[in-house]
Amino acid sequence: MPPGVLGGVKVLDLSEDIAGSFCARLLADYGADVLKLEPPGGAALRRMGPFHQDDPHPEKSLFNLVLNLNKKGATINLETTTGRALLKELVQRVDVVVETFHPGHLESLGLGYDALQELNPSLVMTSITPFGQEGPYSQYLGEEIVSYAMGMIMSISGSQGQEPLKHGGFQSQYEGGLNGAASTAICLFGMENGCGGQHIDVAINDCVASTMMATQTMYPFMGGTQHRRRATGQDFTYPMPCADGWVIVQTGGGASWEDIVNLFQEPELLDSRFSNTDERAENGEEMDKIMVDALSRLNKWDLFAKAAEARILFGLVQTPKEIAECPQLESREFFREVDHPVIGKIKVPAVLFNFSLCPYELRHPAPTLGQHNREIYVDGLGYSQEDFCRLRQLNAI
Amino acid sequence: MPQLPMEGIRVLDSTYVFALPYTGGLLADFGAEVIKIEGPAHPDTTRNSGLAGSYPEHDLGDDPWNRPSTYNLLHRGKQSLTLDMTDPRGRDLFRDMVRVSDVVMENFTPRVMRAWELDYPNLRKIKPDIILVSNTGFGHGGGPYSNNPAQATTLEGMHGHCWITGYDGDGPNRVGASFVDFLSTWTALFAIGSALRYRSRTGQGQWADIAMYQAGVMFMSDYLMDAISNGRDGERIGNRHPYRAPQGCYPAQGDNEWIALSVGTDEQWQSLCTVLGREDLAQDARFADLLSRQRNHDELDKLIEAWSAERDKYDMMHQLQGVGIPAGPVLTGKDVHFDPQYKSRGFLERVDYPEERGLGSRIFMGRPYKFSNTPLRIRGPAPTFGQDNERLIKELLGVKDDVYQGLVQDSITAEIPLAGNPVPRIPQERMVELGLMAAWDPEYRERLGLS
Repeated sequence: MPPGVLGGVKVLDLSEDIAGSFCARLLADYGADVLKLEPPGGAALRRMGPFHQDDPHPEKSLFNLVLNLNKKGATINLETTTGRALLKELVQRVDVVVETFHPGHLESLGLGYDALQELNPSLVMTSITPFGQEGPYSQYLGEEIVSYAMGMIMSISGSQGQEPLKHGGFQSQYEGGLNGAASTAICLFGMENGCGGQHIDVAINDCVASTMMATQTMYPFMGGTQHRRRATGQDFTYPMPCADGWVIVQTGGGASWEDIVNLFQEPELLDSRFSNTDERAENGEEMDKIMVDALSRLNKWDLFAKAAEARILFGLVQTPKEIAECPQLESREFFREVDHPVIGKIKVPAVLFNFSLCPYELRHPAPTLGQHNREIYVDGLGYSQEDFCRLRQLNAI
Repeated sequence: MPQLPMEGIRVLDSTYVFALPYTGGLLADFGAEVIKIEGPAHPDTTRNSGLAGSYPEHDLGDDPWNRPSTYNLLHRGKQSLTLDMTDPRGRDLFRDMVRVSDVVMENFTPRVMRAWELDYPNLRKIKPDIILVSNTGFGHGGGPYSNNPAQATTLEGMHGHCWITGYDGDGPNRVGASFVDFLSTWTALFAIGSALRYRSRTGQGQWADIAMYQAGVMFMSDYLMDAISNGRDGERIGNRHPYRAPQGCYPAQGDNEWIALSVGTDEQWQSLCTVLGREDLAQDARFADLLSRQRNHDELDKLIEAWSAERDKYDMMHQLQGVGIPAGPVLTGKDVHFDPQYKSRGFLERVDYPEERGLGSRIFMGRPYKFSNTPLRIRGPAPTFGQDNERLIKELLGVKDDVYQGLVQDSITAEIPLAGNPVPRIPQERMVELGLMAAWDPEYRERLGLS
């Protein structure tokens, strides 16, 4: 019995960024054997902060620690003839290649999908790029903020009184990675179903755009363009300050407006000026003032407990430290402890979701640079010890 | 032409709102037979609430529950079956459907399926290799928050995205619309593809227990590690970048038009000086490297704004990208319909409705990826409420006509929802005045070639 749901699937991960590394890690988390291939100097991810204990050491990048979890690692230099030949050998032994090079780069090395599929007809190659492989902008450079701008999400984020606002962090990269993993899993099943090998062309901008369903459809349905929140008078359903943090309240769920008013302990909110969505839009500024004033006397965790009891849709704004100690995540064993050869024992975010039969299994820490070179090239491809040393001297690995 | 990846797979989609309904819509694109199941008195929230999106021509019509934009986007290519799950006869029919299906998706709070004896242990008794996907706010399994009601808006705070999103020096913010729902959408696709492959290899099904909160937290991995490793608790830096500068979103020519750009290297900075017509700044020590540009970012923002405010957002993108600077316009929900890249990828697809639906043709987004060997497309319009009741119950499940008529009579199944009132529509002009819409273009049908 294979250990994971994707047991037996073999993957080469050529990516240097968050999106591809996350994609391949999800495949590894659920049982695939993933080999991370990096240039001899290490993938760009290793130079990205944050670093463990703020030490900018290539084995201490926390992105590398998390996103290469459960993978093995080897080096390969695709700029050399020998490196390219090694890749061609490896490709014949795997099911999936994940890559995030600029569109056309692999083709220019003679390693595009068509060339690799000739060597391995049932190969699934998952390419994740900002704009996609083809089209008028495919050669343009992507960045997190550009994907957010062109994916529509910035047009409705932030306040009408200010510039459109980007989501914090690297959400579009993670989105590209998750979509890469999902489409790869679909194609792997499709292979069982007679579809054959596929080149999957994921565009990160399109992933961001895919979350914009009301925004996109508003125009072809009624000619409207969605906006950012109003500069004032629209605090409700957005984070509002309370005595010791920030909370978000929403109508719906099992609760009535009266329940919400009780939570705020402010009977004035029962007034007809606030009785339905339209009234609340018209009288928003007044309502915000009353709510913020009421909340200034209340604590977020008290509100959280009371809201749960009253079936009110309620959230508080947690900080990363609070999330790291969350009892709900603990009950779901979301964090796991990994023993990394350089960093040591450390807790990492691990489990995307829970499977009943093939649960998540922590198998390896992120590999150190070239950690499995001998295993891959000598034990795997059958190079002699002497040739293995030559590969290094040729700067091919 | 090979068959589609999910051809021959039957999916029972007993899910509501955005997350898994969208999974179902995508599974239909992949070739699965997807049957959307709703209660006669419990129609999907996207049929009649603030989540419905827009109505064709802003008109509720005679059957408002079949007309909303989000409902029609999410349920494309599906069949519709209505079953009253609160009645034992409804649950029996559901069990009969499970017997002939491969995948079941549901997003009730954990106690509901248990109470109906339709949770995973029970479904397995009916169909041992069934694949069940559950999506809840906080997940099953009895954790302290498992029974809390949850929706994307409130979860955004819980899973930390609000904390790290906001203007510099300002409070936490929301971003997008129900962002975390889509993380569950994609997680469910990943789970289903993997579980189906496993089933075809081993004959065994399983249960995927997805929590939106947990998926959202996963997307905070770097911030969590910074907290665990360095005790740092995240901060809001607006549109700036921890190690690129300048980066921002700047006004462009026109009303509410914007350009985003990001400079990462000193070479890109030199190129930006040329584009701005400010070669003098290229040698300025205040901006010579990343560290100095970070320190003097406010000044850089002013310089860029002075250049950008009177220029067309697309022209600026082409000019900046032409010299190797990542840049792109802020596209609105209108703009994407005319963008050459989205067009060339076929991201937006036209769906033609049968005459009697009164929806004409509409445009919906497809998928963020293309498959080389099995080109994908939206395979048909969303069904009307209960449109496939009779065929599925009588032909697929073999229920006799007199029994079926009894089910209709007792509203165990129905073709008109027994509950739910559409949200009243505010006139378009008033929506613009109130700031609930940025703009309204009455000529949209002509511009999109839909009339």
